[in-house]
Amino acid sequence: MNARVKEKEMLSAFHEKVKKNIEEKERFIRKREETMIGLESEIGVFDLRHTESEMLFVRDAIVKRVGNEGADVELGAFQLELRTPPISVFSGGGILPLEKKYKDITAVAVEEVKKHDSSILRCGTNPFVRIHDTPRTKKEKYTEVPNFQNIHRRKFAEMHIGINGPNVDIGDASIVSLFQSFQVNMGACSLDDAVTLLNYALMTGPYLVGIGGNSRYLECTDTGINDVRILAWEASHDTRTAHDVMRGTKTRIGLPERYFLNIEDYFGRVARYPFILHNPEFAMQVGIGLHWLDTRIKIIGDAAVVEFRMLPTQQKSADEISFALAFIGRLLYAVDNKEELLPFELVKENRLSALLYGTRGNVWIRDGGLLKRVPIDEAIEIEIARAIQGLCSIGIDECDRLGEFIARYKKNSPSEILARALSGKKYPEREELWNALVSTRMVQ
Amino acid sequence: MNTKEKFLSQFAFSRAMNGYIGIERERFLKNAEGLYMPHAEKFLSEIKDPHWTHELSACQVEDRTDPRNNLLELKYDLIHNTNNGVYAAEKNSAKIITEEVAARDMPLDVFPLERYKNIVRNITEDRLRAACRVAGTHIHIGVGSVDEAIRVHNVCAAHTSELIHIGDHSSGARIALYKEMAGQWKSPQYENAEHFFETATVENFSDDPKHCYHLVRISIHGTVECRMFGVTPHEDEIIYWVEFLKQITGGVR
Repeated sequence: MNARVKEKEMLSAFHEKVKKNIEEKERFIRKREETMIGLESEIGVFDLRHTESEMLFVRDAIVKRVGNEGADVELGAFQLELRTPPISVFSGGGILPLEKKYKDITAVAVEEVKKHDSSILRCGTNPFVRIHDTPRTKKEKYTEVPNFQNIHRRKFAEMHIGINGPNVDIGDASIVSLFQSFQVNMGACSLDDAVTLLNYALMTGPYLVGIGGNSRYLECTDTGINDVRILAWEASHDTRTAHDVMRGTKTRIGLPERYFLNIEDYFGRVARYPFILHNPEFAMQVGIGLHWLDTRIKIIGDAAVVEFRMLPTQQKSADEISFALAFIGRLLYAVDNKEELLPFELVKENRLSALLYGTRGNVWIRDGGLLKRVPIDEAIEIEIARAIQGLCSIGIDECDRLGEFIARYKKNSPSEILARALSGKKYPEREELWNALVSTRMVQ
Repeated sequence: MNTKEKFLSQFAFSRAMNGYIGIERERFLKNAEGLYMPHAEKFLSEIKDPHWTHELSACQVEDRTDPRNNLLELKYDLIHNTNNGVYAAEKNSAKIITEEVAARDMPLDVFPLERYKNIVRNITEDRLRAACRVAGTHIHIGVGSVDEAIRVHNVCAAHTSELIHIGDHSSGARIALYKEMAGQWKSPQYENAEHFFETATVENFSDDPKHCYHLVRISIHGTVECRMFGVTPHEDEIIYWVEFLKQITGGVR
């Protein structure tokens, strides 16, 4: 079967699954207190003293030890994903059961890695691994998808990234195997609620990544970018034609063209891009799985889940929990108050400002009914106050924790802390970078 | 009569800015009913942002990015300028409109500046109308010396048709009006600095290189300026034009 026929078959199967889910939309309906939260964090197994095959061995040992429910391999050969099952947070138990589970899984992974005298890398990029022909996990999807992106890359697309002087060549789609993110999966009350949460997440995500940027270095080079991960992903996966660009079509990575109108609109966008993989039975999962928006909606059984993907892995799992709380609380606040969405063009600016400049950036925010452009540390104070209010509305009081968290983060993103530990060096030696990562607890 | 040295001294070539890109983007002011508003002066006093400036037509305003050596910050500047402009315009009940060719019956009010008044005194109404009706996007490529400027200029000039094609959203209407307004619009192939000076002398822009209206020109800012692109609301499209220019000029830098 040729590629065109396969794509057609996938598209038809995708539409069929979507239609069925929309027809049965009642099965996604539940009360807020019945929805669940799950966390995922990608981490690297890396140690300067070890060979690639040794690190691969340790990675696989961790996955085996934690078990399939809590861990899985990722595209990068030295990468794994730790994840919690969906856990109830809104039914009175608060965040503690989720936090405990997440920390337990992380502790097992760290214990296993120490057993092998190796280390875990907790930042958004692995700055030691080469970008071109980087080692990938041997799975069909990890071969076909990056190869497709490389073959169909937009003609003339800029494949160098950096704003500080040095530029890094990012012209291989396997670059995503160097990237590690922390993701929050928030169950929605219905398909409509999922779209509402998705739009609010697109709006509020940039403020969080502004302070949480943690991926600045690639191939031992300082790109000067607070969080290079998503920007490099976008560029290396840009398969648009010149005509697409002229019409304002965006890639399937990052921000869409506008807010989503409804669930049909969301699935319609997913269907616009090639499926690449051929698996009609799971056409919907494949389509959504390759739709790498900053936030996306996943359908898991009878649950519509909003997955926030914008944050890189943080050095401490406790801080990741704080980010998760900030995200969840902020969305609840927006829903409770039927908050007016920020004009999408302002979200575009906020996002780029946060990704490029971190806490040095300025962002637009609506405050007291007025739109204003303020430094990101000022905006995040407002955002966190709203998140605290949102959490309180469901009986979760995390005022102290989020207050302490924001006081630490608002002036320095992890990227900025790492750059300072390297005294601003643009091309640190491997050992220098390693030592800086150790001193900032990004290597454990 | 100017000397070659005096002529060339007007150009601020800078090795430090070599390869930097700057973008100027012209747009119209309209009201909620879709009528052109000759309110550029009012808009500029409202926005108070040095990245925004005037054009000959009082219905037009222009924003400029800072010179950038990377496309991400260039894109950020484009988005930011637009947002700033949109909100400043709103305060005067106006809108920033991306339109490549304005209606023939648009107001011909000119921004109150002596230089513009002099221009108007010396051109026909048809040429004034043509000048007022077109909006474009100008891309500046920083160059380190006159020799490099000539090399980059010649490559861009050789690709003029292709560049017009990728930047056109008005089926050629904008470029036809531009040619009518500019008179000498076609960029020659300069053999060397001497030839550049000779051309400037013959075409009367040696005293003031801003009077060169070629679609590709060497500007006093030390850049090669490509003026053939139309206007677009999509920043990615402008970035695509820049990528295209980088591609074709890469071999002569």
